[in-house]
Amino acid sequence: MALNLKIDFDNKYEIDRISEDLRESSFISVLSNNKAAVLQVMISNQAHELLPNVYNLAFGPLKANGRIDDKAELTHQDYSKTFSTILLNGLTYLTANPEHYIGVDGSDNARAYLHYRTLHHNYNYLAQYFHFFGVKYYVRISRFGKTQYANPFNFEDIIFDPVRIEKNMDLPRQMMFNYSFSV
Amino acid sequence: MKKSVENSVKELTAKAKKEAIKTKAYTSRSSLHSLIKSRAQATRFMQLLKAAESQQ
Repeated sequence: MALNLKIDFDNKYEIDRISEDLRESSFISVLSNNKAAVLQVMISNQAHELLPNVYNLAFGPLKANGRIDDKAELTHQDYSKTFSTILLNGLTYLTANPEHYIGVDGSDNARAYLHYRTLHHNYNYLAQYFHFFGVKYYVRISRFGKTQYANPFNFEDIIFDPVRIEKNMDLPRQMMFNYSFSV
Repeated sequence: MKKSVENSVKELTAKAKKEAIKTKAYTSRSSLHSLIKSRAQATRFMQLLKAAESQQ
């Protein structure tokens, strides 16, 4: 997966379908084999119970049960264009709902690292539109199940506090935020 | 906000209103929600968030 994505809201795919409340949309992303993949962007209609006003944004192809497959491994022809389109959806939602935050879950360490790298690589551009926060608490615990933790488990890497992600913040890869959100 | 981006946001919002597609309720991360059900912690989180927001 490409790491140095260039977010540019002028470089985006056409949105095929978007719901009235701006929570659900879909577009076609071109894959590296020139095939098309329909990607769904879904913003939760319920705030995170422990993160008031934070609404989870998920994206990916739809599974047969209508849920997003956020573990799907697609090779996009233009990752920058795909992620710019997804983030433009988030920006549109936040513009209409300025009191809300949008949360992005790094479903594994590799994706959390990708999100973090992308944010840093595009900090100046994205900072025109968003403020960024990170949380390391929830996903890192629950990824293995409610009662199953990685063994050994680094309890010092669990921080309940939201941390403002600054431009020059430098976190080691294994100490990534797992949940980041923006307003 | 850059004018072209502002226009894109407006166009998308207008498209949403025009198509008027209703969404179904769905719940995400329900397993997370049940992990720790403490409103007190949520309140504390918001206090910390506000403090973080005020940081320069």
